[in-house]
Amino acid sequence: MPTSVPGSGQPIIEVRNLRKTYGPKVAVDDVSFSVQPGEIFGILGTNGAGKSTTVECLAGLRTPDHGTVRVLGVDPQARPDVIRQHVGVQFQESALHDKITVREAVNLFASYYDEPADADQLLRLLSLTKHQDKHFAALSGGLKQRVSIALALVGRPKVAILDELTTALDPAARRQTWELVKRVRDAGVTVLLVTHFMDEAEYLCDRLVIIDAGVVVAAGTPRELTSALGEGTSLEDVFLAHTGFAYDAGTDTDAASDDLDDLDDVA
Amino acid sequence: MTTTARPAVRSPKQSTTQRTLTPARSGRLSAPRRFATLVATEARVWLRDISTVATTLPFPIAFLLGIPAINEDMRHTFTEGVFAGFTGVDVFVPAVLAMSMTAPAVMALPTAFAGFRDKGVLRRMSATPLRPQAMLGAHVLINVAVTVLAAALALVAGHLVFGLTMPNDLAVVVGSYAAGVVVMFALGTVLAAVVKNPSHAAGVGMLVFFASLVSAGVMTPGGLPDGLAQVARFIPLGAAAQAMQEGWFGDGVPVLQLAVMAVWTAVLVPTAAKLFRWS
Repeated sequence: MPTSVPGSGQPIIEVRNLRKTYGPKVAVDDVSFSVQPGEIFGILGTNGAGKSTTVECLAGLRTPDHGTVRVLGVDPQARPDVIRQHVGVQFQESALHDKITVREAVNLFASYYDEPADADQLLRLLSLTKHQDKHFAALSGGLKQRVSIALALVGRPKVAILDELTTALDPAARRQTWELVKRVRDAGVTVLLVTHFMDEAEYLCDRLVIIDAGVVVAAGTPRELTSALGEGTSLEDVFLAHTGFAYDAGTDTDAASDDLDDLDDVA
Repeated sequence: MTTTARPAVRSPKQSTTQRTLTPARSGRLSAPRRFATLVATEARVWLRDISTVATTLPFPIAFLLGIPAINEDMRHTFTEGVFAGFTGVDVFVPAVLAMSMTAPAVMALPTAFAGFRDKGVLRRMSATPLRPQAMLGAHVLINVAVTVLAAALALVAGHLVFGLTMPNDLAVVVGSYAAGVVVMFALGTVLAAVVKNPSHAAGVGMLVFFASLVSAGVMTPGGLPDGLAQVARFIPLGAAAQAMQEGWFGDGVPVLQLAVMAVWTAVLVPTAAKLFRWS
């Protein structure tokens, strides 16, 4: 994994004190981070932590209540046209017409962009060529996910936001997808990876933030975070430590079961 | 896949870029080209859902042939009054045309959009350069094409079976029909823009449909009583029906009704654009 040098050059994404509420509910409280061009940046967190709202603000789909967001140097609210051309988004729930074919969807989305990818090449890259004439609703979850990735990349974006990328995939497909993400990054695309899979974050991310209850509770490279926690710890341990599950292997069983009781409070 | 001609040391970037994405073209497609791709795709997908096709195309023809078949009196020619020289079937035609322009506009279109919204199709599009006006425009176009086709089929069949009499002023009838289609679809786009839920869309659509038919005098045989007819002139479908009737059986140009439809359209279209929600 290439090492990252924080602060080297202009960030491609900059978020400062982002805040977004829905009435009384605070989805994002105070989130700040920056992403360097060409890195794979992870956004980790439990459900309801504010990850999806944060990336939706980046993609210009939600208006922040407070704070500044700059993507490719512009405010997504001020220049949505720039964001739409150069930021590709892969949503968690991929949604297309039931009876649209894979090929038709790729061609349709390609037509919106100024310099789209070649459809045949893109389908080949994602091993979708033999499925290209199937209706979207007839595809398995894993295939639907690959179509969703294809649509995020068809515009040859500068930034790709991938939200829960490998949820429906079997282990072999997950590995293939990880390698694909690396190839995408190697081609110069900055990748924002929203995930709750620790192994994925550990394998792919150059740097990451952990968001809990709408705030950033940890930031850095996977290596920095694990070595800060202790020798031999994994990213999963880091995650659990920062999101309120301090399970210590050496304590007595009563304390351990107290911690398990706390699990009920998690959304 | 290595060849002996390759240099001994290869930088990682070179080999991976070869396997990633090269542009298909440089430079954007023109707006008409983009719109044509959208309409063609949406139309193809629309046609694959046999239930929507089956519920839109046959209705006008079924009404125009069916109602007079049940009600034989309609086939007699009026000898006096406003409709002298025309049969009851002729008098029924503007009502059928009014109905046929309304159902796709205020029921099918908003329900389809609510379905797209519910499924997340619109949200997926919102992150791309595609604009909501384009999506609305494409579906209006598809539904207008089906509306006109269904009406044409009904008229041809009606003429073959009953022998329809030409309107007094064909130009006025055609112009009024076109204005009616435009204003009813303008109304439909407002509903499509704001009604989020598919079952709400179906319910609201049905209410608007029936209210429109009442204003067009379709529900009351012999048309609306005078007082109500005066009010109905200012309601979109009421104006359309009266304008078509004037052109068919009358001798003037229904200037007021045409102006009413123009004003409604000028108000409704920007409203739809402004109120449109992706999700």
